[in-house]
Amino acid sequence: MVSTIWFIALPLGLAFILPFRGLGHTKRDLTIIPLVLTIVLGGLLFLFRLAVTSPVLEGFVLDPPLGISFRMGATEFLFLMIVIGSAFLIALNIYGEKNDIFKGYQFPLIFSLFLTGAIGIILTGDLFNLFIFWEILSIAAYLLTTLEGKSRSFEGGIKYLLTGALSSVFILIAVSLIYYSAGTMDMVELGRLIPALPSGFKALIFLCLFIGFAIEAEIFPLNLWAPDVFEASESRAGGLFSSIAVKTAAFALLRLFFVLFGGAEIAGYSFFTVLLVLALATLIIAEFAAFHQSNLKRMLGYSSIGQVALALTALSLATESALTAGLFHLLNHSLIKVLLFSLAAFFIRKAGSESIADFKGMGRKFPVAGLFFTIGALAVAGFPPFSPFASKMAILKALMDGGHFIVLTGILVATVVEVGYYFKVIQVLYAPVEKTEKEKIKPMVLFSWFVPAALLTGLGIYPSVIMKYISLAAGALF
Amino acid sequence: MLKRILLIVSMVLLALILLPLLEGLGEQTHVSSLAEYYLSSGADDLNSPNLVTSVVVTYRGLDTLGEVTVLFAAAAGIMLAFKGLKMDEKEREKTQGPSELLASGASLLFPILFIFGIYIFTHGHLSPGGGFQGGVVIASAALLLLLSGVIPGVSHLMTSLLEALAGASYVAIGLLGLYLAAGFLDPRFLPRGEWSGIFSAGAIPVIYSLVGIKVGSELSAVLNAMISKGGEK
Repeated sequence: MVSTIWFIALPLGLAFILPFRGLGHTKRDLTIIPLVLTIVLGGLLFLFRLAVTSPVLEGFVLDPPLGISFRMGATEFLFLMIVIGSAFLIALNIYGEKNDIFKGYQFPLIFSLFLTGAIGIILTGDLFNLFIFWEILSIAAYLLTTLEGKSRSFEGGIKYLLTGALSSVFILIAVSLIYYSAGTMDMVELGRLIPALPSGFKALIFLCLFIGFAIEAEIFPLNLWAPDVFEASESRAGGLFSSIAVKTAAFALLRLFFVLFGGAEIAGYSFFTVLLVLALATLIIAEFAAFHQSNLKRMLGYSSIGQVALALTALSLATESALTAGLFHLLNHSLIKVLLFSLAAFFIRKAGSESIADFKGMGRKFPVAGLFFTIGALAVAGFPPFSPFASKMAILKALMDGGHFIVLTGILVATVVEVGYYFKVIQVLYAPVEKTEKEKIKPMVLFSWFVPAALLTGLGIYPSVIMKYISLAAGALF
Repeated sequence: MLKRILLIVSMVLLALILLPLLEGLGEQTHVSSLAEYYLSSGADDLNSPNLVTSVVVTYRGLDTLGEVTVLFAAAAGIMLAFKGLKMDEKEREKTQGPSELLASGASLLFPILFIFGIYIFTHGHLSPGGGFQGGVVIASAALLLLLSGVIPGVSHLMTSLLEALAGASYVAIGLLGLYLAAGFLDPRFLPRGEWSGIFSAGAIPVIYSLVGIKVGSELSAVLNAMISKGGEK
């Protein structure tokens, strides 16, 4: 039997060995390592495909609730698919088109740790263990931000470090309170024990965990750090944050709302309402802020905050159909942001600038890149036939069924704004310029754009291919 | 001014949120079922007199591996940040060599500290202390040599080799536990040994020694990067 621990042991073992590998060759090109790692992890995930219908529960040394355990059911499988899939596409893009900063052993090392953290958070069934993996993911994310080595990246990295530390402090307070009052760390067991706690205590624990996770999930008003971090890091590092770190935080929120506090009701008050209001506020503020950005990475960062908030609005409705829609949207959003951040890296390198105004005519000079950006922009704005159209419609339908018409109006307004700013970029890309020679793009890079674009189109036309898994994942949360 | 008021308001709010803790947290009157299990079966299970070590290395072994990783990531981050920072040549010339007294004192203390560090991590399953503590003692021995100027720097080749070997072996031992015993990081694939003997408690002393070596070399490398020059040449 293959154990779920391999998902951790492989990237971790690799990260431990890498500093020695890089010795004396600090600039040797090792970008193939992340690519191979993600392929191997993908193969490993394939071996666990049956976990979708028959969940795997694996205790280490002691069986749960006494010891640490890994759980893999339909929800975990879906999130692992998102994490490993996005990591693969970004590693492929970086392998195809590497800047100097990705050479040397540092990037593969940080990438492996980043994956270790994200996968660990998803698999573990133990709250303290989740906190540890949360720390690993966060530290890897700070390092990714500073990878470029400019003063701006260090500024972003330190901002990220400070907010991340705040998030960790809150989670740690909650973890110690939980252990004090319930005497165990196993999350399923805690789901049984927590309802019996006094409600003041419960509210405190819930708030601390919520603040801790929401900082990383970029929920307003705890997301002020995020745009700076997106601007400070290389585009594809931004892609890793947007498609992996934020999704992992959303998963942690699901654990909090559905496993630890089943129903999230404390003293007759449902915290799903709080999540709904905050997510809607995040969505609207982020989309309006994105409209005013002149820096492409910053704009994509705001757009990412908005899209995840949209998915969270759906998740906060806590019905099975809304959850299915929200999870589907999270998956779609990862594909979109992998594509758009990879393209942003390309345009920024070619233009030598991050300012949107400097991308004039890039779509004419590089027709294929322009086409893929247009696909990504249309997809994120929710145009058919791309899959976000299906997930957005499902979210709107769930809101309609729940009678949340104010939320629905808010989402529609945000979508209009979103269409506006993405079209502004497209307009610049296709602005007429004097005829320039067309340049060739490496096939590996083209392939790394083609895969997410094809998936967005394919899943838009045949959503049923994936819907089976997603509704199983949503069902497993109850 | 406004910023300061906002700061004070948010601090007061946070204090209010945390207020229930003052009355809610009393002394625990009973031991939880998990702690009960550790107390009643821990010693028999793993044959280690130091129950804290049993919990840290075995029952919560995955957490400890994670903590080692956190330290590793932080050290890697420091090396990354210090890369390219080079001490001015002039600055270097200005630094004086160690005085005779300091140099002999440090050279005398170093082997004692070093051996004490090794003692702490090899006896982690018998007495207080363990891999992290032992590693830190070893790093402080290295710090003494670096600060007193007895050695110009710690060899990066050596620290990175030790670090990589110890880290990889830690993961490998975890996997051995998975296939030869009850689960990942289960130490019972090695013989239990005699109660409170140095070769007892299965793989626990091996794991703690690896942690000690890893932490010691990692922290020495970090101190080296901070004191002498950039992390790497």
